[in-house]
Amino acid sequence: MIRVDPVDHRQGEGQGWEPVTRWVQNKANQAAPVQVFLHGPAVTPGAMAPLNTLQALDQMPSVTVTVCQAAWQRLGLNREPPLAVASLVELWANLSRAQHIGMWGRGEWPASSADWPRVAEPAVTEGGAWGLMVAHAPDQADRQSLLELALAAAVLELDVVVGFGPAATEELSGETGQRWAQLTDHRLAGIITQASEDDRYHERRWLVV
Amino acid sequence: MNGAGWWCRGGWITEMSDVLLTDDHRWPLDDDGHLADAHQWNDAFAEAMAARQGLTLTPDHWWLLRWVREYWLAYDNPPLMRSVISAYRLHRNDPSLGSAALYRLLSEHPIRQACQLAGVPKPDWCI
Repeated sequence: MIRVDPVDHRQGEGQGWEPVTRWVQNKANQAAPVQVFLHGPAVTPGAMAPLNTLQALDQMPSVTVTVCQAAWQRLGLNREPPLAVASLVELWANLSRAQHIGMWGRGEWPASSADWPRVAEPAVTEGGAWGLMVAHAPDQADRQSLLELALAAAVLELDVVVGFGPAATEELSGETGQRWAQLTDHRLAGIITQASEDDRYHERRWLVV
Repeated sequence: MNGAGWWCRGGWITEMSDVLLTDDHRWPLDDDGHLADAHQWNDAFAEAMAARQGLTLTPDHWWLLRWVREYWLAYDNPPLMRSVISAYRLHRNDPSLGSAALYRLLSEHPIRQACQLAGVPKPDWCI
């Protein structure tokens, strides 16, 4: 799952799409079906500019490169995307079955924090518990894409909590907090700001978005 | 008479490309055919829009569109079908109700149609 423009994100390290390509190739070589899903900030004409890279990935056996339907729709470009679209509900259905998940998000797991001890990745179980770790302060468009991601999990009635790391706790105040509050007001997902056994923190499969 | 249109309690309704007219109201619509300014919404708009869709609003329709509107005003996005069903079960005190009950009210797409009747924008996501 790619939630960032790899070219911008890795610019300082000079890596660009290479780690993504290598990861996908490695999994595809194991003859496992791989879905590459571009979401949120990765769905812009700029982020998708290395189209030949994406199309080359898409042409690999057992690899499908997809664009988030909601994110593409919101661009309002009035044209078909250059790659197949997939819904967030479809993404969650695939995540629920996935043996391996590669995540290229905008933030890093909150470092050296007693509130957020690292968790070992739990075994894959159908319909298992999930966590979305918001580790950066999102802008308006990114907030919308993250909310959509959480709501799509709720459509499938998955057990999801959204964790807000130190860089993102401001999200939970004021108007933006009200938007997130729908998750708890309507019992769609949990919201946590520190690890808690009550929320089955250690049993969840976390995606750092 | 105004030509092609629909009759509802508020009078004869005419649809122009970007406006919904009754005898005494004029509501500009957006490109999706939803009320352009959500704050201009009132009961007369809902009745006129319902008439355009061939609907007669029952008390359950009113409950649905008001619930969807309140959700949108609170959270700035439409509710999930799942949330509406939960609320409808409580409203009717009938835990057996499911999505079919909402489709009986608004048969094309309950949330999308409810948004249009409730004067809020077309859901801009397709999750």
